[in-house]
Amino acid sequence: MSEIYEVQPSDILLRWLHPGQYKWDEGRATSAAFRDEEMSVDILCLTTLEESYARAKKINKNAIASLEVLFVLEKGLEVIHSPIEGNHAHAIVLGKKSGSIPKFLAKNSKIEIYPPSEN
Amino acid sequence: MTSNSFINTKQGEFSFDTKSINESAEQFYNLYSQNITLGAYQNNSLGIPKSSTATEPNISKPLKTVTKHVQEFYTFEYLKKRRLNKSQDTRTDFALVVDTRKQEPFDWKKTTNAYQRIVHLADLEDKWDGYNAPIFSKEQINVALDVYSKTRTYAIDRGLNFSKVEPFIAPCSDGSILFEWAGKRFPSRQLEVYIPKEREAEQSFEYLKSVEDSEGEEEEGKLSLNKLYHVLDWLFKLDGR
Repeated sequence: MSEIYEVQPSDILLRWLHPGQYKWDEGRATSAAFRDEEMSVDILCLTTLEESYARAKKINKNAIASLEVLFVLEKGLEVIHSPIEGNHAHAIVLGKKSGSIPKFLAKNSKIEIYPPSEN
Repeated sequence: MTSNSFINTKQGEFSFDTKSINESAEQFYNLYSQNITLGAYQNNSLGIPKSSTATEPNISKPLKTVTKHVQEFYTFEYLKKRRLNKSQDTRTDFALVVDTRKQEPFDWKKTTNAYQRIVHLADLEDKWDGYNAPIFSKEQINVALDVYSKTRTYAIDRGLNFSKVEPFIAPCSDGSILFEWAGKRFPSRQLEVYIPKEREAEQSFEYLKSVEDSEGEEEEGKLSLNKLYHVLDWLFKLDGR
């Protein structure tokens, strides 16, 4: 059984983006990518950007945004390490994300891997 | 009808999953799989299906296209036709034809046209975001198109160029549809409106108004379609404030 990691405020989370959720001409993620009540992410310290990207590419997702746990906690959300088969770094950001929260998360996210320009 | 059927075309044998296509047709257009015959477009002519499930090898000229569905870049088209049976009663049959000319996937990067982005939400399959995002139903897309139409009418009523009013449409991972007025086009006041996944008795949409240069100045709530003008007037500073 995988050991459960206690997420720290200083940790970084990685979130895959669908090209429709990305504002191409401005190079930013939109609120659309941060709305799920149980939002899946990867914990960067338990994986690498390249590994997370490889998992995303397997299902044709090709952009990744990062987000500091600090911002997630600021909005009263919880991050729980929840390993799944094939991904020990998987975690869930728990909590209802309506109103200003998705916009706040999008604004404070950083694009780590941009979608390929030929897509 | 079996799940996998085959069409014999000039390009060779082509197989496709009729079960998922029929399920989509049932969901979207209340078409049922009885009386569905198979055919294939080849350079605008109908081919002869190889599948033994075909009940009618020669398909007469169709009267009307009911729906199109794109699966793996091939277009499947349901055609509705009427014919007389032996007792001279009319009967409506549906034919499924496959356009074997390969289609290009929708380009979410280049296409910023709001209407096209809304319509192509129907292309997104289950778990389209790589996580658990659900598909978008025809009903929900129609509601989004109603809101889109309302914004077009708003632009006309206010004498605004629609390119200035047009929202950015994005599919949300929770199954809602985002109408966004934000970013470089809207440096001071910004607006988000969400079309929910589930239809409510009194259709209302979640909204968020925010002022970029004023920290903490935000307003969120729910609005109905007939209140859309109010928030748009606020966005374009036509409300006197």
